[in-house]
Amino acid sequence: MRTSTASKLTRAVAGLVGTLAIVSVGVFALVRSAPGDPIDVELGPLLGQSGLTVVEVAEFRAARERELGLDRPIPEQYRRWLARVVRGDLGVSFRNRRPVRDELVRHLPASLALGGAGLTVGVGLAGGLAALASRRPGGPVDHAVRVFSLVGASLPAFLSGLLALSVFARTSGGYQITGPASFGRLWLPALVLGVATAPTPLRLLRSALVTERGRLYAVAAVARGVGPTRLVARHTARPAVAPVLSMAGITLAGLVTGSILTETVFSWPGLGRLVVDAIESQDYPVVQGYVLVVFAFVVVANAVAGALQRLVDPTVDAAALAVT
Amino acid sequence: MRRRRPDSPRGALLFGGTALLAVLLAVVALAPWLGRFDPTEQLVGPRFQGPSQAHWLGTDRFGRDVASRMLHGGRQTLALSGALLVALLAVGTVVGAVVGLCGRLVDTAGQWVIDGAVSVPAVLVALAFVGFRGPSLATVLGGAALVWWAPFARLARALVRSALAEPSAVAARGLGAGRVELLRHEVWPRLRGPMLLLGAVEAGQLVAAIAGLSFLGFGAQPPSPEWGAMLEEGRAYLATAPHLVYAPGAAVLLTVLALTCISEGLRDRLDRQSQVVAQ
Repeated sequence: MRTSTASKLTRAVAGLVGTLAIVSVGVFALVRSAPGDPIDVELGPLLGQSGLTVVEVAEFRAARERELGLDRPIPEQYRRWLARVVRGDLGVSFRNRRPVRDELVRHLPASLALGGAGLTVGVGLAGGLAALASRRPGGPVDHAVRVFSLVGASLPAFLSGLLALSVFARTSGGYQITGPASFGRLWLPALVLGVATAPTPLRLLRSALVTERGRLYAVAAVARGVGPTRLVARHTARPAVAPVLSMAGITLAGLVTGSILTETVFSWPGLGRLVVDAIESQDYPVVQGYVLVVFAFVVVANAVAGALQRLVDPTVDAAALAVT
Repeated sequence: MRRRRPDSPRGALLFGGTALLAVLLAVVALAPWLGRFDPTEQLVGPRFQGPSQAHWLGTDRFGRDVASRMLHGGRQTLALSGALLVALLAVGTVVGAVVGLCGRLVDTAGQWVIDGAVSVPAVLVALAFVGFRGPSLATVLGGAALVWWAPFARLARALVRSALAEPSAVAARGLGAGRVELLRHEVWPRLRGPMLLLGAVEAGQLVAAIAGLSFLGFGAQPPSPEWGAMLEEGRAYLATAPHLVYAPGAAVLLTVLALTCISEGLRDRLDRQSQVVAQ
């Protein structure tokens, strides 16, 4: 059965909205399941200092409950919460009383810089090494690349970060771990994140390049006298990239997860560092803001990657997608 | 053209990985007998000591024996990730198979749920759970399990569908084979290899995720010895006592490396099998 592009698009968007709705319900349930009710948390620091009587506290509580809508039924509370969140009103941080939205925006550039640099390093490594390895499958270079990808895949970002730090912290004039985000501090975490990101696309790209090399058109190109570098660059690279795109979503998820750990290891002032600090100090509004924004980002990016892949390669089917 | 033995080094990868994992499991399981000190005992003696004859891997900031802590540290992580992996495999396979076998409506709905769950990174869900429920290993694992079954379900569904479309399955159905027979003789043989492969892939991810979340301070809580938690403790003394990071770091690396080798070896074997079938 053939379906038109428009109806496919409608279905994709409907699925995306549905997923986001479920995610929002999940986050709302999680927020409400936090120990201690929100007013207790709010009253916490006040109770000790002021000489409020029990009646006054109870009055304040009741007023605040009405204000926050906590006396309403749960579905209505969810509707109000969602309306606030969608408007971009994510509440105020418990720690420094700043709007959560501003906190997120303030930490975003550092995360984007690290994520972008890490992705660049990762994609560069994957592309370059895959091209090298595919020139002679089974050769020494191929084996070396395989060892790299095995070790890289087995080395979580926080571990390679610690190892890199232990090396560079000891060399004189080595790496500065403290201080604000700067270009001089970016290269090491970017390298760590890149090495952690590279193995999956590297393996896929290598095997796709090897497969393409065996096809008739590539053999014909070699027979015409096309050199090995030009063969990859002009002939086999493009068809080999399509299957790699299917892993873009997983790569992205790995990048987000890896950046939380990398930012913690390198004290990089990004979103990952923000949320780890917020969890440690039970700053629920900041945690909620981070979770909402990052989940939405990952879900949307995944949908876009899927759509992109269908655009590049219309023959893609679920079975090919499923086998990682 | 030089001919290479078809089995090398592919078989070696699977064999080496399995052997490494077996050794690691044995060492960790025998920790109470192999370790020479209590992992949480704060010994009177030198702290931050490098490797010596009494303490093979040195001591930490409380004078605890790093080697014993390392041996014990793997027990919780490996036992829990093993149990969780089996549970995720079972749940994912059953859900995927049911979705794949049922009618169109269930399939569409199921696929949507599975795709949605796959698109949310499990570590982030675990982090969200920790953020609102407080840090503990159980919270981390529960949060991760909420979406981690989905990759297994997606693969199982795809495999069930493609297996039922195979000519032999169609023929068997035409000859009057029942659902149980179809599942046992047509679907299961085509299901188990790829599912095992995905299990090995995800097992490595699981161990790394647990260690990573413990490293952030959200998993295993002190003084319980856990590799990630040990890394976090050692991090502050990276410049002066790097052995505190090297020992648990090597343990995590070797475990994940063993699982990665196993999954690569399984992948090669599966690829070869499907090539043989194609020929």
